[in-house]
Amino acid sequence: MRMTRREYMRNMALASASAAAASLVPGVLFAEEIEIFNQASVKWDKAPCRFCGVGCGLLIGVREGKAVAVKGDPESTVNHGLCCVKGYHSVMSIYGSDRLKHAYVRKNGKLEQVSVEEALDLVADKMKQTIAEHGKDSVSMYGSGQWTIPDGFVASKFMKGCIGTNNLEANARLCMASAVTGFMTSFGLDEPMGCYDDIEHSNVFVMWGNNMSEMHPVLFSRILNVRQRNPQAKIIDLSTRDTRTSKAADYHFLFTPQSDLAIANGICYEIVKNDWVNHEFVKKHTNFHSGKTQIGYGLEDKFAFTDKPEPMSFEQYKAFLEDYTPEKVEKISGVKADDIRFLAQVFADPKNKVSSFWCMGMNQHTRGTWINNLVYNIHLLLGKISTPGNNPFSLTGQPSACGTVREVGTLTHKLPHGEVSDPKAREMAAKIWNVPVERIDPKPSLHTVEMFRALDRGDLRFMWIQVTNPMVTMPKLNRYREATLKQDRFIVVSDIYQTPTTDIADVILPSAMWIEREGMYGNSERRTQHFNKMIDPPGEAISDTWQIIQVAKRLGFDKEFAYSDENHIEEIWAEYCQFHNSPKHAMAPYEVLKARPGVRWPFWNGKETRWRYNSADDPAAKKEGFDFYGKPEGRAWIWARPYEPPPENPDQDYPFWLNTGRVIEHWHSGSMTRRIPVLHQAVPEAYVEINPIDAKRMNIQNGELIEVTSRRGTIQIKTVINGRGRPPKGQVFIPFFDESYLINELTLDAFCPISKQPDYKKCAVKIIKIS
Amino acid sequence: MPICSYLVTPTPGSMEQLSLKFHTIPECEVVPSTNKNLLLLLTETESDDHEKELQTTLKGIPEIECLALSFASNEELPK
Amino acid sequence: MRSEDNQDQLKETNLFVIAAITLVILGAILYSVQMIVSQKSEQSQEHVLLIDSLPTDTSHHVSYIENQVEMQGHERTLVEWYAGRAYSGAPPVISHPIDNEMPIQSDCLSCHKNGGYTPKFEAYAPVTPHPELIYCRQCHVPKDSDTLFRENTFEPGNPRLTGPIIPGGPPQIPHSIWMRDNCISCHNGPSSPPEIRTGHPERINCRQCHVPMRDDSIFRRKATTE
Repeated sequence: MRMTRREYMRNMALASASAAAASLVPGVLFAEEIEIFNQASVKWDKAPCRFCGVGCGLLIGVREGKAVAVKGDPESTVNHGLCCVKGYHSVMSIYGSDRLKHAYVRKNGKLEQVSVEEALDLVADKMKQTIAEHGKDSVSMYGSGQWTIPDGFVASKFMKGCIGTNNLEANARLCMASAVTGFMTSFGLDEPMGCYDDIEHSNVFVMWGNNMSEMHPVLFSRILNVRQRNPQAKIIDLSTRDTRTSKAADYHFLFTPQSDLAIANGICYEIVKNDWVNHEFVKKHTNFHSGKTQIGYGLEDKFAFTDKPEPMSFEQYKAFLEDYTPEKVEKISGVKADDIRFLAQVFADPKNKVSSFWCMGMNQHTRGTWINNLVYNIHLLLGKISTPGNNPFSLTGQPSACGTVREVGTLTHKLPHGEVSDPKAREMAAKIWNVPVERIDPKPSLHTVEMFRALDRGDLRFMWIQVTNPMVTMPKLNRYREATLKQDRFIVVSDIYQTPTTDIADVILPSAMWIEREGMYGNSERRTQHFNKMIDPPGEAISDTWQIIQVAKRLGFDKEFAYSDENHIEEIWAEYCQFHNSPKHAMAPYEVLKARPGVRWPFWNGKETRWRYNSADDPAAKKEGFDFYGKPEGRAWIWARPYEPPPENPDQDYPFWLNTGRVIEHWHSGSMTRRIPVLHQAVPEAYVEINPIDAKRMNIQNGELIEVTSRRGTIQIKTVINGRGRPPKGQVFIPFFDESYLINELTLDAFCPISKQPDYKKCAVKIIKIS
Repeated sequence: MPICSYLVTPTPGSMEQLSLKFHTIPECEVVPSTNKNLLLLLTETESDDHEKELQTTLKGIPEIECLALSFASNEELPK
Repeated sequence: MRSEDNQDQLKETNLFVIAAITLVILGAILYSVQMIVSQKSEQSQEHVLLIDSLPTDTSHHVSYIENQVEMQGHERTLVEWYAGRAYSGAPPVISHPIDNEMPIQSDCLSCHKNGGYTPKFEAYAPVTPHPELIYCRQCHVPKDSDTLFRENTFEPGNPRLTGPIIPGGPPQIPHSIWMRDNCISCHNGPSSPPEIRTGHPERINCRQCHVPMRDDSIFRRKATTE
């Protein structure tokens, strides 16, 4: 903005003179026609927002080949025309002056510019050579929940269907994996039963460790609107830190990290004890299971875990809950016993329609799958599920974590339909992809953390990273950065800007971003959204889809990737839709997606589905009332999952909890939002939030530089006392967007044994005042 | 860094001449009208002294009948 | 006839006198307000109250008259107005310091609902066009730094000032009016840039005369014969 201000002043001067001339001398015309910019010269086209998983509908204003403005799409039922500050400024992320316009190859340690063709040749050669020397499982691809659906689809076809390795992962493993395993273990099928429409039907909103006001602001605004209209509506915030969401909530309960497991069980204990259970629903639609306990934390290489579900009776489940009386829960969580009783009452009150919301707090959790199960338990026991206004809702952080990673299945164990271990799923994939079925490996290989560990060990030699920035976002970062820099490791990075990840790359491919190409995203409420190519990418940049197609062709897979240059997105979509051609998951056809601001699947007989498993709305639900058809017996599972402590607790040497997360202004690793002047200038750098009492005790002033150290790393960073968030005594919070303060050098790579998703929300650190 | 714009009325018959004259002054940019006896003038100078100099130059141009200031700004701006 | 004319004239004169007296009184009130305001500092709280206590329905008239006498030094030019936002239609940044970062709303509406002079910041508060949206910090962020992480080459699509199509005619609306359908929040009052301030704030039905420019094509009748 600063650069254009001068030019802007000149334009203003000229415009002012011409306006004066027009009023003084009517009908005056000028030789050089002064271009009058108005609404009419801007063409508007729809696109989902580039950033979070809410998936707001935007209208992008394009003039003379450039994106110049944004407004909320009033037609979109996600945001009804309102965006957040990131959405409004999203188009500016395209125009950072350091956009990657060319390919680069590292020669003798230095990046040298080469043509994209040459770079693609090198990527293909290197892949071929690595497979020849070390086998097909020595190459891997690491993608993203920011991949468009076509990106993910061709990646899966290429890696699983053509090369024949399951070494395909995506960063959604770091953000949504526990939500997936939570859905799978409780319902047998991924993704929410409800949708955003629940908000307007609910009157109680429970936030489970979710700072929704900053992370999903547009949805939070919808909740605030409901509360403004309905004085009975209440927001309840359960969190480990005082946030803007807590401030806006009617009730706020602070709990000790990890103890959400105990709180959820405590609520169930009260529901059962007071006989608030919806017995008819529970009898007809659920059954009870227990699984393994003491399941570990995945801290060691090649950690493996398989759960063993055992059926149990309601009486046995009742006995299990005896460990979670409100008094016992108070001891674990710090939440008063009466408050646990109050929470149970609010959930159970037949007058209340209750929505639960959660995101990273529950998913980035060493018992992430369990806590997802436990929140479902509450809703299932009460039968408050799959009906308008009564739903547990798992929010997502990336624009297509659902659409691409979860639905296309770009994870090691997944195929676009079903899992690699299922012969039927392999047969289906082989048939649609037109590849020999033997080529699809039935054994899942490396999940994300293990993939980087394999790179360190040397089991893996080649990695192609697209649309993500693991050198900022991997936990225990020092180990994995060193891994990528070892001899005989070849890293390809496709991105739009230089990042800490391109710093370790051997080849950098310039990507076309978002509206510089055609694509689709899928948001948290099963909504698929199409966007057109609106502007040209800079320099030689090409889409991630086309990069993969080009490399696949160079490896001899011409037949499998015979898509046309002009229509490949439409062709890929048609191919992909064959995987989901049933009332359980049917996708809308291409023309419908092009015409509407998103369609929620299952899209069957021309109708989208808002409430799954509810026979009134879901075309796949055949039983009367509800049909949880994801499980063979048509019932949802209520799980007995205990409280287990986190792997690393504060102790004498490292007395503080470290919590990490985001701020409203920045998104993911900040490589886009930091290049937007408005957002950068609002939060120019990362900081550490510390409780005022701790600060006073340690004589730390606001703005003072302090040293934060864990067993894995250390950083020096400025303090903020009484900022927008306030951690409780004994906790510090640091946002992760700033590549100058790599907080993930401190975090622990412990993960949920079931989902393999790391826990970024709790590890132990110490603080030293730098005098 | 002063930036100004003016409406300029040339003396009768000197429209073309005046346009050309402005073209020779580096601080000036001119947009002549095609159907009326009127010009838009945009000036940009480096400093207040520079601006004063330019204004003296402008005042000395005999083909100008009327010079009306329309916009003026004197803000520090990066180039 | 004649006497009626006279009566009419008399009526008019009377009206004129009443109007003049009203103006003088209003002027006096304003002058005193202004005097107090200009002696700001420790008494500032009271002055805000005094301004607030003026009847709200006439506030736009008051502020319009007020413009004439008291604007100097507080006025924003259109250039400054645009400098506070990335492009026409983008949410403006918060140009002043904020006491408490935590609430989603703070006390934004206490100044930005009705506008008026804010002694604390020595400026006129712009009026929000959407007071019903209470989560201010969803879209409006402060500016805490002048630095950039990397330069950005984005060029805003801002409307330029256009005159009327016909001399004396009403200018068209050159920008989208989605979420900006309350014209007077930007086009009237002391916080509005003089370049785009209306000269007739008392006519409230703006869109009676000003219509948005939605298309740049020209109407052509379809051929009716084959």
